Amino acid sequence: MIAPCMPSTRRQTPAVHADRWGFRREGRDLLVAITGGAIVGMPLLYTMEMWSSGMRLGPGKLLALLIGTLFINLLFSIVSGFRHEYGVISAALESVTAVGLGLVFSSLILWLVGEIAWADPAAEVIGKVLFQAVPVSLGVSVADAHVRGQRRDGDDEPAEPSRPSRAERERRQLRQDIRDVSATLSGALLFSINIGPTEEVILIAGRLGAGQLMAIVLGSLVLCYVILYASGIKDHPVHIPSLVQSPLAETVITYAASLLVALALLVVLGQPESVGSLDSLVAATIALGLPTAVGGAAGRIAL
Amino acid sequence: MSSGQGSAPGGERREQRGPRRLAEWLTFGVSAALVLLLGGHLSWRLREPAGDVAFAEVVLHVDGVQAQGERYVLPIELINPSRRTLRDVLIRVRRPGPGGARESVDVVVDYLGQSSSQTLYVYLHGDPRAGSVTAEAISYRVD
Repeated sequence: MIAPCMPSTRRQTPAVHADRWGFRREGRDLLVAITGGAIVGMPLLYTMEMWSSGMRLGPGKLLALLIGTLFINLLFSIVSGFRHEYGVISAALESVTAVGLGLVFSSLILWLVGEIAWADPAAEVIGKVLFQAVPVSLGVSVADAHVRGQRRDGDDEPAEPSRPSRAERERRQLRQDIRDVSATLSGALLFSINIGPTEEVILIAGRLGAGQLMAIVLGSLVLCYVILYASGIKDHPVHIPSLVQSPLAETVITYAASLLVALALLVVLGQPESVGSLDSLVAATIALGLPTAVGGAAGRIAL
Repeated sequence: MSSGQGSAPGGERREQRGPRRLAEWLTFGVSAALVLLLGGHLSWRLREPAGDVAFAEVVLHVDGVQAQGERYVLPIELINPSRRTLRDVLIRVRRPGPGGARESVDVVVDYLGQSSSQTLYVYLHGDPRAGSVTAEAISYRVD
């Protein structure tokens, strides 16, 4: 319930529901994990050398990579993990889950950007997915330390005994909104400035049809929502409740701001082919919009 | 089995989570199955000899030739049946012209994955359907 007089979080106090099988808790943990994996892995999922390296490696090296990844994830899970618990056995179980999540997440993103397809040879797909799963799984394994419990406001205003005036609340809300938008733009720029000028964006944009571009838009929105809200990141205070500050609206605003950053990057720094025609520009903006949206949403929890 | 209690290395006390529940075991089970399948598949592939010499096959699709202005587009399929990924594959397409003249086009493919194929499109000034066009792989690199 949003208290009108005090800065309050938008999250409702959850009703006590039986979570007998632990699906709700596990769902939250997995969303935290996906957030960590997306933030660490997304720039590398847009790197051509990573695609080709995975394709080049033989089965022996790939097997060594899988074993090494499990071991490194075990070490990371001992000090962090994604489930907010501690114990060597827990860490061992988490490291396997982190690698599993890394494989699934990498497959989905590589499929979204058209780098793997059903018809591709299995050896090629496995190489690419496994190689990309390494950074993603490491992001999953540090998610508890770097994602969970992060505040999105960055400003702890002391609780006041009396209700602030409407003008004061409007002033605070404006400051909050400016801070949110700034964090989104900064995070998006920081995350995508080294992706925007690359050939990968043109490659991805050029090979995707309208349906696949729509899938990228949907995927970007879902990732934005997961990072902003679903992963349990603490919400920022709402001084003046309004429709614009609903989770869905904020997700769309964050994505729109990220798309603007992507567009600006392409126009200023992008390959000439990306601005060659309106269709190319739209496709390239959507393609670059995926990592930019992850950066924009992550910016709100990091900055 | 650890129930998730204890102190983190930094001395921070983490919250008590209670016993591991079905959902966590389910996630772990699916992940473990994925990792085991992957490990098993890679181990199985280890048994197959990789071979030092790979090769690339080139197939001309003359049936798919299309005229574009004064030029013709010839589809070429490049196949790598070996278990080595090829790099910098150089393909040379030749078309005999009138009076002994010969048209030649070189194409370089950055990567050709193991057991995979790629289709390339080559511009030629003469109609490939009219003469005996040839295409062959000239060179490649392996890692």
